[in-house]
Amino acid sequence: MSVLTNNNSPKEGKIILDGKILNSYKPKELAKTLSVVYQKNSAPSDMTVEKLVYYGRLPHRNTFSLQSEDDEKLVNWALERTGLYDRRHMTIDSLSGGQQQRVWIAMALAQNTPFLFLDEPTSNLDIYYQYEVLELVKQLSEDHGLTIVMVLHDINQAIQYSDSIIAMKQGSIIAHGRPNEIMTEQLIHDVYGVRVKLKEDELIGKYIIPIGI
Amino acid sequence: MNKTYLSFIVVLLLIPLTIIYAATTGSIEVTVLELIKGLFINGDDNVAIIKDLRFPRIIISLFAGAALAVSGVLLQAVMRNPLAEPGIIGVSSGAGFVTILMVTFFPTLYFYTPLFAFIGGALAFFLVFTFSWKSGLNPLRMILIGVAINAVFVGLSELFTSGGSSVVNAVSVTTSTLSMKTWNDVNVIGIYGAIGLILSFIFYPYANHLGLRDQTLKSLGFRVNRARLILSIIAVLLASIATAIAGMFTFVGLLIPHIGRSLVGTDHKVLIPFSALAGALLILIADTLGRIILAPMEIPASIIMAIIGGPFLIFLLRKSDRIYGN
Repeated sequence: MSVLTNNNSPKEGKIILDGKILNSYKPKELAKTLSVVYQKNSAPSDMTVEKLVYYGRLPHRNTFSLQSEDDEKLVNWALERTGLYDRRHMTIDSLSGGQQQRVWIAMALAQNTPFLFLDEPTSNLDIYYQYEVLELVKQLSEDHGLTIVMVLHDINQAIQYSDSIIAMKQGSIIAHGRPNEIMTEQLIHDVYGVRVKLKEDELIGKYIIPIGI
Repeated sequence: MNKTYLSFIVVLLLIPLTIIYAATTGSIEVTVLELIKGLFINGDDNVAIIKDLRFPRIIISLFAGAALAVSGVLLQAVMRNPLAEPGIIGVSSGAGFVTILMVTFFPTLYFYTPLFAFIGGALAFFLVFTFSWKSGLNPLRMILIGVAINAVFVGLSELFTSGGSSVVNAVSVTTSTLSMKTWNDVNVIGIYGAIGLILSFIFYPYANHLGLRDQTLKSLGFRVNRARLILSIIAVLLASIATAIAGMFTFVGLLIPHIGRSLVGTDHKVLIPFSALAGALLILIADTLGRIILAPMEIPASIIMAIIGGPFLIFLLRKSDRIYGN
């Protein structure tokens, strides 16, 4: 993930995004192409939701320039999409964990990039908010054609919400493909060392039940 | 919002009142009317003395306070550390030491004092920053390194001043030196101080940006380290010039930004101007108190400040996890 988002450089090989080597993007150019929501975030506790989402416009403007109409439109759109429009004047620390996570997603949306990366967006959230975030991400991909790359540790959530899964172990790719095609009991055991039962449900498709090690 | 306006109004009212009080009180006492008359209408002997002795002192106090408070705000933003402060982390003593060193060996270069101070301040800051970088600028570790750097520079300076040097009174790294200031000193701190303050008003968005994590800022295409460098240079300039002219003050850069955050919030657009005003007011009050409490003896303003600042630092450390960000 950190290599794909250009936080670390690859030791060998190269990463190509939109036909261009990732390293050769200028910082702002990359920020207009690819947005990231990290697992850990922090902001001054008295900052308002709206102000924070405006940071998503930073790649598109100069630090000292005024807010343009475009900025305002995209910020409002991001706030609406994440269901935060009514809370835009509230401060960050007055929001719940799930709402805070949506603020960071809104910020990434305001960046208006074709690619959105999320690093464990559901960690530390109550189960309701986990699914709220996953549903939001799914809608964004369906409604706006965003390409979303997401790190998930919950295998069932990954199966349910992904078009394509990359299973990795110790830095190498073990399997890559549609969840229904690649997901086997053997794969889970290979990757995690856990024995599971793979079942199928009419409503949600494949899912796993861990048995033991 | 009301709290913000109220805070500004109170400080803006107190500054002129304190200036008038400071100008008219002391070993020579005049009334406000006499002062105004003497200044603008006819020359009065007492007023002439006040003009030459007290006015430079008042103006220097104001600039030094503003510079140190804003320097504290900027360092805290750059290091994301509520305890970063030019006095505590050694920037001021570094500035003082290099000044003493150069003035001792090259007394004729006295004119370049601000430059030497800046070099010394930058050196100290560079050392603290480098040594704390590995620990991810861990707040506690950074303060410990700063204390060590500070101790080294204070010790080195005292080596010179106690070794029979002739410049004992020129610069001190342990106390403020606000008495015996001339209009020349006013010019120096006025020009460089104003430059530093104006730069801080221009570059305040950077300080706001640094409230987010480095990773987040990078993904927004923001050049984090360039912003850090620019703010650091401004902070060191402000602290160095204050030290070169007014001597060593600790705690102003700690006290004022924290009071400021609780009164006007963390937005640097408001916090920086407020800190400048409140810092100016604080040093002027400290200096004026120091002049009159035990008159005719004078207590240096820095000692008054340390007596207030010490307990406040303890108070801050007790609840420091709540002070900056989350």
